[in-house]
Amino acid sequence: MDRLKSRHLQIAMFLLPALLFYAVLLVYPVLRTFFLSLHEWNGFAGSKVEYVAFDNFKLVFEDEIFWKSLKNVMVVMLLSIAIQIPAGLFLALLLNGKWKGIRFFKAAFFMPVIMSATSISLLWKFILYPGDGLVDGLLMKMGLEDSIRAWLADPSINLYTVILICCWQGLGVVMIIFLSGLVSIPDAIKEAALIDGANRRQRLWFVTLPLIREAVAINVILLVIGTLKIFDNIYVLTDGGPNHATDVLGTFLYKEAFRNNRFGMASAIAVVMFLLGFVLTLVANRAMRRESLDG
Amino acid sequence: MQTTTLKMQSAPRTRVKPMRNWSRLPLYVCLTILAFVFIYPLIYTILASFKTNSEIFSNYFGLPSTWHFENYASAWVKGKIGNYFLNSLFICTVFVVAGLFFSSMGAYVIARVKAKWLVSVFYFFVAGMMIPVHSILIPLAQMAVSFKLSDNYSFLIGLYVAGGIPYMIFVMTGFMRSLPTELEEAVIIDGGGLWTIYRKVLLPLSRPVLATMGILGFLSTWNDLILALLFIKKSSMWTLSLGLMNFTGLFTTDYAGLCAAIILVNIPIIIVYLFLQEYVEKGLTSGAVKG
Repeated sequence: MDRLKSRHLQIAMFLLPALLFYAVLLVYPVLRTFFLSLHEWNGFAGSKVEYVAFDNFKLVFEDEIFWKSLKNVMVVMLLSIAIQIPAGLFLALLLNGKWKGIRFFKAAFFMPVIMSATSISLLWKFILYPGDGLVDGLLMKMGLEDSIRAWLADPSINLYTVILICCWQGLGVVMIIFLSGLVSIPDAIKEAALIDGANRRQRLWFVTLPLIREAVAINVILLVIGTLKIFDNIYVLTDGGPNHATDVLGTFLYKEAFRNNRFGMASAIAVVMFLLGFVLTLVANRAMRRESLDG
Repeated sequence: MQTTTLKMQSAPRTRVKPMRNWSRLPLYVCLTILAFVFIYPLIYTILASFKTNSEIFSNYFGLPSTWHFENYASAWVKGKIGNYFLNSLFICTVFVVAGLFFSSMGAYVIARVKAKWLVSVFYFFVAGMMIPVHSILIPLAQMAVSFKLSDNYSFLIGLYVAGGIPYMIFVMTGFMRSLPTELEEAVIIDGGGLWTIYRKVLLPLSRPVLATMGILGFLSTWNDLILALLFIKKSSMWTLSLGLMNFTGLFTTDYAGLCAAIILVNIPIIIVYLFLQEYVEKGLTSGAVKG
């Protein structure tokens, strides 16, 4: 009995460090966020934390910037999926094989993924520099002065500029996940389709796509989760402006908490983000499962 | 029916071989154009980092007329990128060592010791992968205020460790479960305990997964902005992301310097990636594909 006890103690010692960090710095803060969302606190040490029930949520839902941010996040999410899934699949199909140069091309498309969002955003800010940046300069040289816009300042287009930059950065991940799906398709199935006389398009539509449905599902879910919490790119590129044209939930939360010192309300936004992420992941998961059952 | 099948069967055999080199040409052209679009912004930045400010905005594709290496010196010294570089390197190194050590210890008992309660522990850890960083920022800020943890590297590194643990444990547990048990049994027969098995058998065998997770952890911490932004205020303690972001504010006109700084920040990452391409890609997809 004693030996059994000491063995359990030993196991616990192995788990303790990880458990301690995880519980204190990740689990406790999440629970605390739920608690704080029902309270008012101005962020200063020693100031009162006051119970206000659902007032913070009321404040959030009555704030038009919240709805604007939510709408922007949804636009980013849907457009990212609509652009990156087909584009990533296209690249993966091109790169699915064994020939010289494949490593180079894969690295080229993957490079932006590993670079920091901060440096990517600064780089693009510089390329889109109004007047003589690379993009405007090229358009000018080609005689297309009329199509020059304030890419990052014009509220009617800057959200799309940001989305394109994010897609440029994230496409590599989508491609790699599709590639790992494509590699796992057994050669026998591909040969069978070939022997049955399926042409290129039929093979893609009826053989390849159904077999990489899993990869599609993973990509969609990762994009949903990833775009919901988008922050770095927008913070550096536009800071959510001008006039909240590019604000998303992440920047809205950041500003409410750390610029306006409304911590209770910011906690309520955090809770909304958490639940939204949970629900969207479930929905995406369900939709993908459903589809694979029908097929 | 019969004839079409036959035709299809023989067609690939006769067609594929002699045309192999030429049939790929459109593919290569297409890929080269696409790759150019992806890499050109980076090449442009590298070239710009050697030009003067006025040349940057007039000469878009050419090489610099003279190579201004002093842009790098100015970014490294005047822009203090060197200082931030060492700060980031320190933070990432400590994080990777601590994160790998704690996670591998946890993953080891979860994967190799048979006990029902360990399954629940595993799910408790894995649930952490669902937590977005935004939903913990405010309580962390509160902690930082009440315990005076701002400008404290231990706190920041602790946050990275806590954030990295769920994914690390998830992937490592999967890997360790697939390892053979024979060596372990030999150690037990020799009278070795859990610690001996962990140190002498599991750690050496887990080298590939440790490498993958270490590289991935290093990259994500090197690139982090929001946690550093919130908890490091003193400019001498800034990480690279913070230093880079404030570079534009400090030297509004020094674009060549900014480009040099961007390149300096990304050089280690690109080198790591080029040498360990497979590990990086596996690290990003291993959790996703299994989950």
